[in-house]
Amino acid sequence: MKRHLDDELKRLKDKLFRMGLQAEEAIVKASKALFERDSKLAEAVIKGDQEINLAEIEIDELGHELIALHQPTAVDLRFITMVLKINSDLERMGDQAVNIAEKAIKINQEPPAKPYIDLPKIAETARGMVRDALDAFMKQDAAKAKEILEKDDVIDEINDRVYEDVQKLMREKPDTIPQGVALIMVSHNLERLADLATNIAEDVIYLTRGIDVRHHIRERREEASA
Amino acid sequence: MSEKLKVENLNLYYGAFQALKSVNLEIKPFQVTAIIGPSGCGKSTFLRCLNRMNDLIEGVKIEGKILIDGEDILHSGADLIRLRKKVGMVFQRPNPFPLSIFENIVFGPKVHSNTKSRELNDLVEKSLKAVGLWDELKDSLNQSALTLSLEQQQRLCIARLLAVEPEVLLMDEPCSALDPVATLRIEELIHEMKQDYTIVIVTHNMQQAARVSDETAYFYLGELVEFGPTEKIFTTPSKKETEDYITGRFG
Repeated sequence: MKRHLDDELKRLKDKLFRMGLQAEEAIVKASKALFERDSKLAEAVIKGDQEINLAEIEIDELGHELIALHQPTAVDLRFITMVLKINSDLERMGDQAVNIAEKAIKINQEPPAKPYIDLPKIAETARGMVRDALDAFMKQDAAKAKEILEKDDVIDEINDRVYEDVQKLMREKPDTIPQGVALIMVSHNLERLADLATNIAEDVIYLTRGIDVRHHIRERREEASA
Repeated sequence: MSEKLKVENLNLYYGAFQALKSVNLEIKPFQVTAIIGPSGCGKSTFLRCLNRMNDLIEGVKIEGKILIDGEDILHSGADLIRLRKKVGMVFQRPNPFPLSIFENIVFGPKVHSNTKSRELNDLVEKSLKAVGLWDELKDSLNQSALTLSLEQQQRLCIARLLAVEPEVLLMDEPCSALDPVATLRIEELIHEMKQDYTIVIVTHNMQQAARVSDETAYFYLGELVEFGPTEKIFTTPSKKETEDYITGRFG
């Protein structure tokens, strides 16, 4: 049976996808602003965040409207509630991109204290995770979402390495401390982006399979009842 | 034994047509269990089995077991009067007797026992209070029940059931003749009554099943497709057929 609700759900999905692309673009630009020392680009990221914020509000409004008017159940309900959660994760991604852009402007004012080796790796992995999470959502592909969860460990590993390297640098050349602290913060921002992508992946798994994989809660409950 | 009712391998045939196909189901006490499914799926037939209302239909054949408190009610020696006192039914359209409000309520108790008039007065008050009608009707107990609004009539029919002290209430679309506000009020009543009774409700209105029940059974073509906690059925049903039906993609 053709349902009027399906058109509305498609509208919601498209809006979220567009917002996802905006967030991904912000991440790419913010990273580029740092690695290519382009502060103008960083400023554009900061300015552009307003659009992501507006998209968040629009998606929230449409989602609430659909719940109120259609009383959705089962997969429809899971879809709308997951869109609302992903919406807030994408908005946070925009904020993290702004944080990176702000640090880039600060760092770019001085000569680079060290070449960027691991940071671009985290940035690229995190961006890839965001893209894959969006893809998994659009295709409602739980298998793809699961692959994203596994990548999170890679990010944590590189992030630890960045911390160590930068700390070493700061110990050896104390005048690099301001820049070093900013780099550690960027690394943390990138790591947070990967976490948010992971959240989206978990939401996609719940949406498609109805299984909550967050915090390994299922395994723990099963262990507790065994 | 945690269940109030236990249905085992229930098959029901109307002549050559099989209306229920090996249904197995356990209904817990002091809960509301909703039966949902498209028209003709067997949900009313199933409900009517629970107090043997199908017995009178010509050509009906029933196999399997229905245990209430462990006792098989399909057994040929089952005491039907005792069964229907224990397991009462509320129908789609309110069906008060063309008698006074008072007489409607005391009708059952008079049949079942020699109750004294003082006790009957108390019983009428208690039953009407239980369904939230006492305050509005206490001064017009001798008025004909047919003068009441549909919602009042349906409440009266529930009060009439409660007067014979049943344990299980079967409700076959009890709100289908009522407006939305009266529907919500009856749903509230159902919610309150589950403290004292085990309730099984058949409903076409899926949101009603979601609002009032603790467990939901989805029937299709005479088979029990899925049965589980209502919150699970309406958020993450296990079967695609259930999901398609409750989201309105089918049915």
